[in-house]
Amino acid sequence: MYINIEVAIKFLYALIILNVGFAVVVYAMKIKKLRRTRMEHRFEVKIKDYLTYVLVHIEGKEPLNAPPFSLNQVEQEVMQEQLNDMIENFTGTARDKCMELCKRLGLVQVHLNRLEKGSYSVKVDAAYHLGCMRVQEAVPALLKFLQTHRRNSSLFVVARSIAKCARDERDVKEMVQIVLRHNKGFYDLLVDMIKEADIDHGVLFTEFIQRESHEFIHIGLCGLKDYTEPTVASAAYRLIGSPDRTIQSKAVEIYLKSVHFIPRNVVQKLLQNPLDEVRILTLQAIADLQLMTYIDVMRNALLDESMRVSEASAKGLLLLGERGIAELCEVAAEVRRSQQGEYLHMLIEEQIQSLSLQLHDLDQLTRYNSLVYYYEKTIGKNKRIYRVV
Amino acid sequence: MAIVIRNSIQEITLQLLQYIHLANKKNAPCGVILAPCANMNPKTLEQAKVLISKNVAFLPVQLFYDAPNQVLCAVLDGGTLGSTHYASLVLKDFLQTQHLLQGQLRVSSFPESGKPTESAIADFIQQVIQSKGNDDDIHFFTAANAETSVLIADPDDLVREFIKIRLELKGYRVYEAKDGQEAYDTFVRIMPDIVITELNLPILDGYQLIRTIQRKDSHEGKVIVLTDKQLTGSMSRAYESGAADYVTKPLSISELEWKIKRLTGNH
Repeated sequence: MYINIEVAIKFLYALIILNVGFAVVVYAMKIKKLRRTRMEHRFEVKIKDYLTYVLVHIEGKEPLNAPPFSLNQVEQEVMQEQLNDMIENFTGTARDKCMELCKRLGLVQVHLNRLEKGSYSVKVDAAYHLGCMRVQEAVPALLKFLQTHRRNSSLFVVARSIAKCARDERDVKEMVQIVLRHNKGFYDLLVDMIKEADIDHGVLFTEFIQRESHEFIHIGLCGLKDYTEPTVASAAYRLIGSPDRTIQSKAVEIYLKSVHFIPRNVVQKLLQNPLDEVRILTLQAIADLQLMTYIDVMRNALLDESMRVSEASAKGLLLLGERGIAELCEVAAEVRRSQQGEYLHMLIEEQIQSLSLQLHDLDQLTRYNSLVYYYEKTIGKNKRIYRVV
Repeated sequence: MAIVIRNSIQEITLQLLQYIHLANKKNAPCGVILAPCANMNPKTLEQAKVLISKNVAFLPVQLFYDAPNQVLCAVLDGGTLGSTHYASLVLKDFLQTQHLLQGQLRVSSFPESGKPTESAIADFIQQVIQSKGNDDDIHFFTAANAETSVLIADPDDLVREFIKIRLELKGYRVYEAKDGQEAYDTFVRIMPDIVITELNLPILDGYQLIRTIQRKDSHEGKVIVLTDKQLTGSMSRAYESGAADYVTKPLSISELEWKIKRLTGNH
């Protein structure tokens, strides 16, 4: 019994010592952090004028001078953050001069050394800063680091840095190849990173969609979403018949966005596609491009087995002027006793209702009047719908 | 017999003009730094000169102190605005360590900052004298009259600061706002000629701000959108809301300046 109490007391002493020890460590860390924050604030005030000097002369002919005072490590880090912000925010000469200043201040060399010799977390931090400063000579080391990197969020930090520093398209392709090895569909993220590279993105994405690999095709299609060039249209056209449904619908979307006219054989091919999405996109494109020659195609699509396609066709015909509206009402009258006919009637009435609320717009007013006129003429409903003049 | 009576500002004005004209005659620019200072003696004057010469080694520097107005003048023969501004950083640091600085330093380089007329130089000196007691910041002097006013609405301090500095140097009057509400309040108060706005703004977003401005003052071509939203959808929505132009980030200040000039007809 006596022995147990002695052990317990010793154990309590040990716990107290440990507690005191931890408290000292925590307070030491807190004091260190406070001291650093205070130093950073002091330096931010000190460099305010120097940063104004940088901002004023950032696009001038003369090179930017280094600050007229020496920097310790904390000050160097604050300066680095400020310059990173400027590089990200500006373009052209301004960005080049900030990058040149980073080199002159020795920041580039510091991070190249950290990338070479540092621990894992130091290397990731160095990669981030080298990316911000667009240090092209860091690309081989960054690619080597990426090769051995495991899959976690830091992987994308390194990959983005490579894209920012890329010397040419080859560096970007190599980076994409390495990231794709992790076998996950981060296509949009990869596109976002590729867009950071100082290369012709359109050419690279077009090349990607011409490859055999589905992953590269996906990246290319994600990247070309907002492109509207004829070269893109012809590259996307080849994928319209792809067995992969996602690729197919994305390719159709890009193709339809990039063309000014769609040949009849292509329209027919697209409208025979089993995917509702593809048929809807085609009908919308015909309406957007105001291709009046395809009114007959639109008319046939009103009787499509899919209600969504039928609706897209009806809405498209409304945009194709009086002829389109007349065709819509005519078909609705022809099939009035069927389920599709009922659906078309409901759509027309909905449109009349919605257009009647937008009569301040001349286009909508014209559309409203035409629709009411042909609706009454073909279907001959008794209830009077007023026309606005 | 004519009697010429000169006031104390005229003396220093003429002295500065003489230096500037001498430099300009050699087709070289002339940088001038003015600082409100107390009790400069020849020894500190010499120390300051040595320090500036050490940092801006390639330019001859003249320093003189105007005791009646308590203004220190530094003249850099051949000094562009860039090198003169850099020299002002060194001078400010020195004056602050010696506890001599009493207000704002003003920097200019002629002819870059305007035509060096007697009235412009007198105005320059007057601004320095009036700055006594204010924060000891560095400001630029420009002889151009600020006719066009610009309001910048952007939550990013760096972007606001950069555009403000660059436009002020070009002779614009610039106002700032961190969020949509502050931008709208400032707009109502000063009715600027141009508003530059980000679309991602706190409180009132960019689209709402544009629409409110358009309702308040339907004067067309007032708002330039400066944003990192690069999608065509955002662009169309901004134009539909009433924006006159759309510039994407990363920012090119020359592009922005041209768009402002085009909208104000200030070519």
